[in-house]
Amino acid sequence: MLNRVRKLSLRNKIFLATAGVILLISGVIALLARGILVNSLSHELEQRGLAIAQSIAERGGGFILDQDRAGLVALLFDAAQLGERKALVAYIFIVDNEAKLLAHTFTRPFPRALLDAVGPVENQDSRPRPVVFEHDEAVDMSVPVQEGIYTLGRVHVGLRQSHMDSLVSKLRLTFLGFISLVVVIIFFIALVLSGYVVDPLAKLTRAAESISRGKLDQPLDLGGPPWNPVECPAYGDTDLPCWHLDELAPGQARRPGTCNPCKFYRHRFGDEVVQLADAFANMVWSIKLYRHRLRESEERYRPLFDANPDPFLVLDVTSRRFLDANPRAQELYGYTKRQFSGMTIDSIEPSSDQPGVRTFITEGCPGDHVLYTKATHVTREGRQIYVNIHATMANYRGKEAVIFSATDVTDLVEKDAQLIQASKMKTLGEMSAGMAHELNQPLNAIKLGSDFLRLAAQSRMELSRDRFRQVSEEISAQVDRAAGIINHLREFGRKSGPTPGAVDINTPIRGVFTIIGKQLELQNIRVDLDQGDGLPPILAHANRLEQVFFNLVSNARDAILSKASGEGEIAIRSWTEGGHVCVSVSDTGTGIAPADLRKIFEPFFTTKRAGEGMGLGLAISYGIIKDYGGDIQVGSEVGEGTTFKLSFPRARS
Amino acid sequence: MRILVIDDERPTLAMFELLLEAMGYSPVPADSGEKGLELFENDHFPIVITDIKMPGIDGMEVLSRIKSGKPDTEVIVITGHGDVELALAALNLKATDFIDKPIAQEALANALQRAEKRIRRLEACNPVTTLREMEWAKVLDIAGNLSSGIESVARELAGLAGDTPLLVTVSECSSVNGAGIAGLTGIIESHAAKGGRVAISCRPENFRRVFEASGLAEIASLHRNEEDALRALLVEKA
Repeated sequence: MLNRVRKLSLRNKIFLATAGVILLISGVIALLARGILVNSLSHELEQRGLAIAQSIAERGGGFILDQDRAGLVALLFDAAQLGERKALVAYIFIVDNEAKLLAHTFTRPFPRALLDAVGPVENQDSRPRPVVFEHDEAVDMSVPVQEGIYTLGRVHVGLRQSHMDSLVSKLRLTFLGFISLVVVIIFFIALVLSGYVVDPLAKLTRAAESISRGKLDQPLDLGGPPWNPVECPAYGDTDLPCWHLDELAPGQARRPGTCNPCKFYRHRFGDEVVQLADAFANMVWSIKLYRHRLRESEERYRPLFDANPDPFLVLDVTSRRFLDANPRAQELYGYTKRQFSGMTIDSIEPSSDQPGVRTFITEGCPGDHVLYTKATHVTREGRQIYVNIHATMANYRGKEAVIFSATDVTDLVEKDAQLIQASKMKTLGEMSAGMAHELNQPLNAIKLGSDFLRLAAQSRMELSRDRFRQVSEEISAQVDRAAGIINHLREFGRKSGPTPGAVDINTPIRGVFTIIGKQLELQNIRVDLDQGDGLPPILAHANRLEQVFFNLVSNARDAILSKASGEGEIAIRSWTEGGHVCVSVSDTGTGIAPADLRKIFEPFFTTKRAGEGMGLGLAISYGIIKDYGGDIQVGSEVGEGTTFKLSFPRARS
Repeated sequence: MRILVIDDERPTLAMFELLLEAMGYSPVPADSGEKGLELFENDHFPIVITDIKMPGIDGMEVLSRIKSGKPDTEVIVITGHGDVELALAALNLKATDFIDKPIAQEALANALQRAEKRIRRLEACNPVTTLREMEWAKVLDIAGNLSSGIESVARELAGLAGDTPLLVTVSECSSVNGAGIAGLTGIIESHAAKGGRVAISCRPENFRRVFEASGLAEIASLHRNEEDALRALLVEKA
């Protein structure tokens, strides 16, 4: 029942509620009126009857004493026939104390039953009592006729019941008619009022529905002048802030300027319904403006996404699936947009060893922006490519997403590798002098040893077992030494693989000195090697690092040799500092002039004479160090020496 | 014969010692220039074999100090493989011979034999240079250590007619140092200036290389033995 009421329309609710209340009030009024009005009317009529009786009793005393019956009758008729009384008064009669009829107004024989009905004369009670005579009903009231202290008789006045009833019913009819009229009027008012409230609401509802279906351009019937969007400056210019829209733009302390007066902000004077309509219209305008600006900005930025020469991809953080991919990304990876939407990041970034989008998904926070260089990705054909990834975490169509660009740098990486390799080959050339010396030493010892054995065999010399063992062991040891150097060189010259591995930084440092340690010693350059114990590994290529250290050490050597004294010291130290593994290479050479210090990492910058150096060593070293996320700093005093400090992030275990 | 061997490489030194012993010499090893000079000061060594590249006092220093003290000492330097520049530098410091690394026993034996011959010649006071006449050519024989003191020969040869070919023979036991090469070059150049032809027959292989490197081979034809040289001169004449 309650539900059914709830489902009723507002109009019906107002109507039914009003009707119910009016009907209830009318019923109560009718009941009250019946009690009050009918009773007071009856009472009034009875009073009138009593008044008639009393006037007759006053005047009739003389006629009774004179026994003038004719006078008495005349009196009665006069009283009964006076004006309207004729209709009201059914009869009048007088009886004496012995209940003998003295006079009456009947024009026919007096109905005896009346005397019995009105009761004894002595009864002083003047209360009206209903009587029935000759099929007629009346209300009888009697008053005693008194002369001094004597009672002469009684006057009875009978009021016609039918007349009284007709008066009461007329009163009732009039009253009910009035009440009905009031009810009808109130019904009508309720109808009009409910219509006044409900119609705008219905209009608002229709408008809201059409807006929610996207029909924003339809004119709204909410009163007020129609809109012309061209007149709104913020509608055409999406960069212009509109206070209507951006109450306070983010990061702005002051409210942006407003159009005064705003042509679209409505505020009419009127009742709540009008204000509601205005507020609604303002809201609709706001939505309209916002949608327009959004569409404009979407239209403006979509081409940036679609026509961007860099591949762009959007990745859902929770499902790890792709949400969007621009044509360039589709071209690079070889998947269509549809195929992308069914794939996760794992399909194009299979390895989680090195930092990339997969790391960012788990570790990034909204608003973060990162750059991963030379991440390894795989295309649809299974080709491995290197990409520089710019990733940011943002909201994309209501989802938390990683938006990233993946610039293909495969060619660059290959060129870099070629350059590094070429530079390594050049380094190998520079090493050749030291290498020849290092190889000649064991070869010399081997040659001498083997010649000794041959000579001993030829001259049939007696050779002790110990001599034999000494010579053969020495030869074997020297062969191992030579083989070690050759292996080291081969390792050094080998082209590095694409992904770096965990390297103990002390290994390449020692490698440098196996090649040129002896040479430095021959050039009277002291080497102070202070390598920290148990350093954490770093992610790098051992032979590229060796190239870097070789470069630094040979530069240090050159700096020392170009000093007048030609003597000096190279100190190499390795240690950990925070999460970094650091190495310093110091020399007591000539130092670098402050003006040159800024340029030493630039390619083709050299202070050496033409033909002695290309000026690429430090530039390539810098590139290699940066590749491993490391850093190199230099400090120098002219005449005192130079120190290079390298630091690399430790490999994550 | 006692030989001082100086080399900073201990394995090489040990093998050197064994080999020299086997060859009948009595080697005394020194593992640094300093040690070698110290031993040399306190003892007599007619022959010193020293490595050139050594930390601290290197072979060149050892050579010059020995030569400044006892110039008659036969100093054989050990050079890196095919490093003629270094050999020339050593010869300029009056080294009497040089051996390439890695050291072959034959080369070592030859060098030592030559050194011994030179020592014997020196003891016998045989002249280093002798001039002799052939029927159609003049011959300059060199045996022993050719250093300075070639001026008298040069003067004598200055009067030689331009149409007489000159043959220079460098015998097995010879050693020609920087000053000797300079003197020889002067003689050959002046003869060539007169339009005379010059041939050199040089038996020690390592000195042939030195002559080539020092530019002598460009002004005179260089040969292994006397017969080849004479044939060359004859062919040119005809």
